[in-house]
Amino acid sequence: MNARSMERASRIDVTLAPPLGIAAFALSVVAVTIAATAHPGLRALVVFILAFPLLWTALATALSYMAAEALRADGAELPARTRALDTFGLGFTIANVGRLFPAIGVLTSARFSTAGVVLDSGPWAEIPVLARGRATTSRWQVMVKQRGTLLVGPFRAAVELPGSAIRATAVFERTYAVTVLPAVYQLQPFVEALLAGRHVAGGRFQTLPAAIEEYAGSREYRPGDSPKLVHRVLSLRAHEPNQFFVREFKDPSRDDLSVVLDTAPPLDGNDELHRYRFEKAVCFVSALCRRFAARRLTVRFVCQRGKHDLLTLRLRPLDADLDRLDRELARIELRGDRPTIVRALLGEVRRHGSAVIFVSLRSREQIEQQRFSMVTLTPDHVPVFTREVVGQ
Amino acid sequence: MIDWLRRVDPAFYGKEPHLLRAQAQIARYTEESQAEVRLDVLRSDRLLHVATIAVAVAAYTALTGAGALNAQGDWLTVWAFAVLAVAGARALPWSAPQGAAARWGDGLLGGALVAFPALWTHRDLAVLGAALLAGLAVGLSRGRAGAALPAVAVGLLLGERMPANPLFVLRIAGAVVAGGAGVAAVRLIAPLWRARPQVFTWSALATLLLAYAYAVAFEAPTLALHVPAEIAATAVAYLGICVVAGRIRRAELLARPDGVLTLPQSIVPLLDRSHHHAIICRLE
Repeated sequence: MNARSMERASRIDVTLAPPLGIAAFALSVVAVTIAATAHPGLRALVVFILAFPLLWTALATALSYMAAEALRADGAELPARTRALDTFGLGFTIANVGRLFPAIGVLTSARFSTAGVVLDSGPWAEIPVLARGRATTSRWQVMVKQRGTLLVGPFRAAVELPGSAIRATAVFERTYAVTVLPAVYQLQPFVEALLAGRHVAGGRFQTLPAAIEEYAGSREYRPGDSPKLVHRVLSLRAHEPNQFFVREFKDPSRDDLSVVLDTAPPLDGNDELHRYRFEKAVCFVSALCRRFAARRLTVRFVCQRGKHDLLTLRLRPLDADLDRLDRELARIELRGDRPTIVRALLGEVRRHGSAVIFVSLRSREQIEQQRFSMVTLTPDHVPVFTREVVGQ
Repeated sequence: MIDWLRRVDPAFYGKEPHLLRAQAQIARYTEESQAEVRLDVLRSDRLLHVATIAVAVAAYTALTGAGALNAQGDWLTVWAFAVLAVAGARALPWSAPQGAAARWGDGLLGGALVAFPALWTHRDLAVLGAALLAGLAVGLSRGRAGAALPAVAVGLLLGERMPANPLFVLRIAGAVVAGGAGVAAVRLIAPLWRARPQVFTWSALATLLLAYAYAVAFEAPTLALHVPAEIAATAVAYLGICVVAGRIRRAELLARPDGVLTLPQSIVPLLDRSHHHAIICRLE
């Protein structure tokens, strides 16, 4: 145990015992002292009567404070990322670097905060005895429902021995951030066929290529290219004898789909309703992209993060890309504006061969959108397509 | 976690909260409910009950000069101390609701407190009378009368010491004032005790010290006869209070919530149909 690498308490909060109790005790001490002054024969008895509770209280108070001061934080165990509705284990290791006494009856707790929500009071985990020079870990299970960033900390460790006039709480200010990704939704099996069947894509208006790979063009040979791809005719026509050209093919499944998330709050309805629908839409989009990735489809995800801030992600069927999508979705807010979203939609629709799925927050498709060849999913569709799960 | 949720909220799967208008929820882990759980733990703690009786007996023995007050025939004081010790212990919050048998058991203890120390000093009808009266007072009083008995004892102790006055009324008035002060003190401390149980330690120490102040002020010659025995009895009483304080601390730990939910959060959109809490944390 290296005490130097541990975090020292930034402060010791002292909470006094109920003043009424202390006042009653102090008055009774005064009363005994006054009563005993007239009776020197009882000095031994009176000294014992007074010394015992005073020493006990003083000792318990001093030990409580010293024990709290000798505590050091030896780090917290928590994941960097978790999912909304999922549970993660939290561990907080605390050490007693005191040289004289063990810390008895240590209670530890953590503060949790996310956007607008704070959980500041426990639950307190008990460490009955923490011997000097030893460390131990308190553990909790945490479930978060709020997407975004969860801050864990400061941690607190409180010591209050029976008879102590104070409760000494060591506060360790360091906080840890946990990114809370959107919840995992399970989609109904029919969603995939409905939205993105390879040959029956509702949102597609371009003719699909018949072959898996289509000739896209040719370029000069580079070391590492397969000799099978050498374009013989073009290479023979080249001026230099050692100059070769290779064919390039395009996989039409790339950028096969565009998923556009609506982040512009509708004008009608209340704000709570919009936020609720937005959360559902975010989780739905995450699940949808994962489903497409499982079918080896490449997806373009488009949404507006803020004013003049359009996010475009090219999601290959790779875990890294999907993780990036989830990280972006964890931070996304309802801050879009209608004209920008419509422009983005138009851009996606005009892209060659792209099937477009628009996850809208509006109950009805607007008139100008009806001209676009795309699939619009309203908030009424999302629950139908989704099988919600409580935790994983 | 789901099992835990099911336990803290039995309607976990049954209820269908109004997703968007959920503003209120069942309050869990209120101070009051925690105090009730704590009290249940204390009521079922046998060691605590034994320690309480030990404190009462040891304090009585020390305050009456190991029973030497009997030798002086100071029966009213002896009676009051015996009643205060037994009825005071019975009035503590963790004393289980008592039936007739338990009440008479306490009455027997009150009588024994008076009678036993007197066995080697007095063997006359006065001893038996005082013991019988103490036993009857504790055994017969129940409900509010039982709770008021310690106040009556305090009133008698102080009323007896009022300056001699031709008007006997003054003594009664002194007794009433002292008893009322005792009741007021208990009423002040009782609500505090529910929230901060460790206040009992301070109250017990203060009560014991005040009783000593009384005994030292008015019974000094008698106390001087058996100082070693009184010190021993006082040590037992103090150690008993230490044990009680430790048991209260244990009850605090046992009764603390093993999980905490955030306050109702209408701003957190629901992602499932279980709760509208943004963060849920429980002990592993």
